[in-house]
Amino acid sequence: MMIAPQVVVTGAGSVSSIGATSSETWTALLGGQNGIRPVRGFDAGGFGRLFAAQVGDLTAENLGIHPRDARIMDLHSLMLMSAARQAYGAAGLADAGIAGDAIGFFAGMGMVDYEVDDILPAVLKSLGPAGVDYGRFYAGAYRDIHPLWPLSMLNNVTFCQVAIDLGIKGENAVFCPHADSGAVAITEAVGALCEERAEAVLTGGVSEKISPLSIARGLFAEILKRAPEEPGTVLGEGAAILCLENRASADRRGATYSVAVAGYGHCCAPRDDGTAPLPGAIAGAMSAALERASLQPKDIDVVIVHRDGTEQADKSEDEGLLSIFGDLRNLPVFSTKPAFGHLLAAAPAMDIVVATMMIERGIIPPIWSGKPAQQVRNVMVNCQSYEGQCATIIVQAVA
Amino acid sequence: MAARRRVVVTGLGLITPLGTGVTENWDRLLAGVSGIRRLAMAEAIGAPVKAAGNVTAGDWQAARDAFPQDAINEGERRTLFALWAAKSALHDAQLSEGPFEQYRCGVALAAGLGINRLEDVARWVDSNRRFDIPRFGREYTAIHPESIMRNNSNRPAALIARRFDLHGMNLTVTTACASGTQAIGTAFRAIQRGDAAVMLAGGADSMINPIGLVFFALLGAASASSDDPATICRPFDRKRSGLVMGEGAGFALLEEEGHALRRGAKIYAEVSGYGTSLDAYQVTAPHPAGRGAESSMMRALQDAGMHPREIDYINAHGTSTKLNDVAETTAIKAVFQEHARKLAVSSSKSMIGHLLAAAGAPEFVYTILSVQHDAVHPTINLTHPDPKCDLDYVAEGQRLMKVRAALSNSIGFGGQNASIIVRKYHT
Repeated sequence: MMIAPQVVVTGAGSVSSIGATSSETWTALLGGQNGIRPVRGFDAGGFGRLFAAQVGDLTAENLGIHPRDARIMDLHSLMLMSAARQAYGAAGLADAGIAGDAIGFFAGMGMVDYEVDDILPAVLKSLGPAGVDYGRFYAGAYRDIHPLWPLSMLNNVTFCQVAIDLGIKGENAVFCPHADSGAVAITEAVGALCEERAEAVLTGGVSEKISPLSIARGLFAEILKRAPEEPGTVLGEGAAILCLENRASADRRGATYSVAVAGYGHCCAPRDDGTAPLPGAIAGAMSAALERASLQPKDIDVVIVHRDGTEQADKSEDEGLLSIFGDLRNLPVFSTKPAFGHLLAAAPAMDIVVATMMIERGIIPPIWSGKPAQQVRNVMVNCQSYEGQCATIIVQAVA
Repeated sequence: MAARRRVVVTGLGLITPLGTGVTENWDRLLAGVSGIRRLAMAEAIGAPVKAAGNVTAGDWQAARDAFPQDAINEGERRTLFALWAAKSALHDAQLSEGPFEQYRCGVALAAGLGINRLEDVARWVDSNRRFDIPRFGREYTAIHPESIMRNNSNRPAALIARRFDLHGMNLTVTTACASGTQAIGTAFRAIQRGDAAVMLAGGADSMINPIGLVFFALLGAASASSDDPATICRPFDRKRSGLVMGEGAGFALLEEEGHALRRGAKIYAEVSGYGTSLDAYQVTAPHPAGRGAESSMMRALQDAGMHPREIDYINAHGTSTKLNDVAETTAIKAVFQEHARKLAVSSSKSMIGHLLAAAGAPEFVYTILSVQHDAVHPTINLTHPDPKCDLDYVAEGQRLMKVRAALSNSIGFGGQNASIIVRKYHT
């Protein structure tokens, strides 16, 4: 079943370790730059020799966010706000005459970790001779936690702050927490447009903030590199938001676009050890996306792979690719992770931003293997969670 | 716009403060039995919240016994709740008794916040009363088994896929108190547009843990009442004092109509419409006129192609907070106009408490049962009517009445709203 009517990308915005905007990120990619550095902001030495792709210089003040609102916003909130504002602006939604009720919003968002300092005073007051004494905590220590702190722990509150900022009141959902959740958000956005439940939809995702807690989570799952020479993934910070619209309505208002979302597929079959999806699920997602886009494997010019650097996930994806494409030697494969790390829920939308640039400029940046395509028309984006979920999105050049 | 497939419900599963069986839950709801109990766990002594809708110790043990390996390996109550309710719904639907296309069958789960433990900070406080990050880095494997760092929100949905061979679309919704309805609504959409033939959809949550017990107290939204626990959740009552937490899970098996008919499945009801909205007002309070909830109900009606007069019953969000109950009432009146006075409206939370992210899931199951049985459960404890809450909340006890179609609301912190409509199934 094809996606009909055609859903096009009329704007995009992003934040990554190598660029505060999509064009900055693209320029850095072309220059072969990467944002992966030793973890900064706290002493991560206890975990190992850890690297990450962290975003700098993004503050509530820079974004003009009122301190009252910023009180419950952490870096993930600021990244989402920045990417969403960029996409909204790039699509010209402010002057499009589209009511807030007709603008949808679907995003993938990561787990939210507390800032230790936000609850440390309450913890200290709760300490008794045998450790945490919940009697002391309830007797008043908990009042040392800011009364709005609970809201900062809900990832959808950040999402709602963006909706307030941009006046978005339409169809919506938040999915969580890994790369596949960002792809589900894009699929739901496409669905809302195809069924005419929205005139324009912002969709994409945001990563987690790199913190001692998020690193502990990654190490627990045994996916993170503990040292540069070890296998594993490198976490990145970032956000990417796309503005999607039906082609006909984009044409009516004179919006510009160069790519369409042509297909998607979603599957879930975890390996028994919980480290990656099975190859059959990854192949299933690719196969469904190809069928929906009415494309054959030979029509795909570039695959932006998930390839997070973990042994099992890479093996599963390779086997999945092999079963769909047969001979992989002539398949141009690209990965954004060497440049800006694993952006989790932001990864698929960020990869679509990169795919759009590839299609528009006819260039594959220098981190690739295989032969360059003569022309980039169809780009497949793969993403997965080590819990077992996986997804594929195909974007296509439109004349 | 492509033709949409019809979606029916063919299986139900529950674990709530009212029990582990669908019939058990329904009988107790109709009888107005409260599942809210005084908190008995040692870690709750002195908490600002005195009571909650706990799943009973016996029911918790039943869930552990049903999944012995997961009872050892998984750190969160909600994971076992999810497995129990998922298995119950699948068993009820008898899906696995015949061959089924695993890649056309998916999972949509509503998940809550996850558990943060004070021990995960306290353990690494140094002699200067600071959090010793390098030592935490060396010793992080000692974090609490329930810790959010060990339990990704999408883990239960993946576990359900693995346990029951449901290898299709798999998603986890985190939109606070709207999550349950949004998970079921998203599953409904996936089947409608042909992305799946079957979706096991629902939610599981528990915040009955130390941070959870102060969470809504900090926000000023929790009832701190030390009255008889069975009486403290009082949606739409003038003396309501805030939300009362519950825990548990609910699942429904949603199925494409043709798929259900071909395998001879029993059909409870049809899901006919779904709508969501954003308040875009304030993250700390709902729009006072319930504009967001009004919009989500209107969208669900439009989606179903139904007139407001065709709805006989609303399973309200009805949290027992000052702000929600008035805003929701105002929204219902705006949508249904004069028909609002003829509607039966009730709040399941009056008996099971607020299952938070999962709330919409058992409430969806109860809404289905109302349509199936032509009966509506009461809102208990509504003895002092609030002049601003002036609809028919079925305060006097269960009511046998024709329920052609019913709507269930969920309204999330931050300003996310979801409404879903079910109606009697006719070929």
